[in-house]
Amino acid sequence: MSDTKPFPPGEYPVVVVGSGPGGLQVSHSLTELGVPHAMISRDPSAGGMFRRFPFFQRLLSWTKPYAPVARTEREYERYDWNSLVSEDPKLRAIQPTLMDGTSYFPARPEMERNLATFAERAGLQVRYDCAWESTRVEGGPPGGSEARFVLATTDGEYRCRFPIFAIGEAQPMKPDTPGIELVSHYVDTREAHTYADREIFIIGKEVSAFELATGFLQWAKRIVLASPSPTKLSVNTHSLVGVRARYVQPYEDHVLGGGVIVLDASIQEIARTGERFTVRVRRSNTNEEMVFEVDDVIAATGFQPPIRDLADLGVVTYGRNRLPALTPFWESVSLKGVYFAGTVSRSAAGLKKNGVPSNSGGVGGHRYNARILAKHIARTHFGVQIPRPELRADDIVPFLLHELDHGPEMWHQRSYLCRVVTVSPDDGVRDEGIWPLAHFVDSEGPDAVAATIEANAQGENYPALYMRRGGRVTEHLLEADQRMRYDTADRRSALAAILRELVGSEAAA
Amino acid sequence: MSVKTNVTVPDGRSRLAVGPITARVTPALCRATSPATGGIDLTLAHDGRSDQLHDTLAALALFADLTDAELESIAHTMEERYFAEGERILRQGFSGSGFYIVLEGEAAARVNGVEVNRLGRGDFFGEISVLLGEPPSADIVALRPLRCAVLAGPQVEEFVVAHPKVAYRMLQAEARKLRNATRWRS
Repeated sequence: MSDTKPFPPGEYPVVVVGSGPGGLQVSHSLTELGVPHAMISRDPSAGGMFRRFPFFQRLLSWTKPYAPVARTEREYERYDWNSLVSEDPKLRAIQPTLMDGTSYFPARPEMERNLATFAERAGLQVRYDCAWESTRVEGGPPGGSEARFVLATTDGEYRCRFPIFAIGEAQPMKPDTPGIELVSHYVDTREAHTYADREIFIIGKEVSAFELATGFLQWAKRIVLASPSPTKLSVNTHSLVGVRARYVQPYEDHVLGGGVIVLDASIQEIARTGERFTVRVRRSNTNEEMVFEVDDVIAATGFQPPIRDLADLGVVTYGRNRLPALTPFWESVSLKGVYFAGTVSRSAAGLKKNGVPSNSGGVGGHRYNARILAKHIARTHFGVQIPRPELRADDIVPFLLHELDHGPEMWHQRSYLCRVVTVSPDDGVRDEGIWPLAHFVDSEGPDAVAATIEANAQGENYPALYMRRGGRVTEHLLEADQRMRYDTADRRSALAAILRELVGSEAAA
Repeated sequence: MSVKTNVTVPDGRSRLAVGPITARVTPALCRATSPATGGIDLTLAHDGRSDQLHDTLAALALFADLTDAELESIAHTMEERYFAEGERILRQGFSGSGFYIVLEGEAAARVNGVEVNRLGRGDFFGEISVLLGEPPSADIVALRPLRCAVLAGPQVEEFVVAHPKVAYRMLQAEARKLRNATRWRS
């Protein structure tokens, strides 16, 4: 029987593993740049984790069907966290066309359809039902031109110089607590109505724990959420750190005494007592021991990326979630040539100024990482010339202010991605596009300015400029604006004054 | 729901009968058995790494006075970061940095590119910048792969207020630095 599936086992310059949003975005961006590659996926269809999760079937990232900008414009992406991105306007803003008006949070099936529609319209080829199982290196040291990564799959072996793993963070993780094997994980949660009139103990106080608690509010008799450190709410941290607003209801129920208990305590032991569970905890601040007897215990204790044998091969990982340590271009710091896209790209944390993390854990952030990664691979490994439009010196100020007002990359990836303009005597003034800020501030290069949006602990967003002159980079912050509009006369003058060192008085125009 | 506080009585035994203590197990990997995984790979990882950070912090002088429960809370509050050789952790003159404790590896402090100090396991940095609300006066650069526990700048005040014994240890370390810098006076 002939193999009718695309990308039969063999050698390809690049192999993308995974057909969730990260895999689809990087494959599409590589295609736009003319970089040949194969894409394989263990799943039967596009969508990745959104084929099943979130558990309660609605996302926590919004897509605003009506926004101040037309959907066909790139600037609309700021208001749509869920569509993939493209140079082709026909492939943009697919998500809002698939929503029924019930909510500005797409339902899970709407998100799945969004991704499948993008894959179909972009003509992306995927070899489905082809599971990556193990990895080895042949032909020389990793990163060298002779080296080949061999990905053994259920369909056979794929050889490539550059694998890109867009494998999500879907591997459930449990802590090492005595008795933890007795309890189910978030992924094993049953239909909500089966918890009617039951007492539920949820281990964890992060988003997934509060998502479950939200879904149980109208069913469970009582709910306890416990973990060692205090609950953080995104509305208090002014960032994506903490429980998102959509799932704060159980917290309000707790503070108003409605019956949900939110506890700062470490879980000492879980034991089975007949049909029920006994959970012994120790409070973090008082060291007091408490015992709960409940009907169900669920570990909402997070996920790890399923990196299989990559750690044995030399991919260094860090932290509780065993994230791969990555360069600003999402390449393993320890195994050259191995790249990551999608949610896992969050492990290249960037500057995290004022503790504000990137949005790389969500589609709204990592879609841009994938596009930059594709350009990086195209430029450095395949000799592709990336367009660098020329600017007039007196255009720099209005250009950067427009980007600061509307550039979706900077708004989704604050102090993480930046718009770069280089200035050199031979090459003039060039728009270099979007780059990782950590790369810009820590690398050599021609004189240049990078612009991004940053936020402080008070939740104010303000423009930040980084100027590189003679190899040294300095930081310049502009004032915040409550309306988040920076193209104002005073900021025009402030920016022109900053740029004067770089391009002379022409920038003051 | 029965919620009981476990009180230790004079004979040292607990008033409450809880189930037998389960042996501590660390299976490397076991399969999740849910039939509803919809083809998504849900291989389950039991992971001791949160305990690893807890154990690493427990060995540091900064946290020597804390109970186990407090340490676990700190291990969940601080974030672990990894920096490759040559990577900058703090950047001289850049706002918005944090408080870092070296868990493993070695780093150099450089002012205008000139090395002024070296930092190793148990040392901490970034606190002066956070406390004074000023950008760091030095770069901190990883000399070899570096693991740190990190607290974002805006979290530091709440952290030291909540853990006065850690604050006292920090003060002692600052006092030693000050003494070394002013030893010539005495």
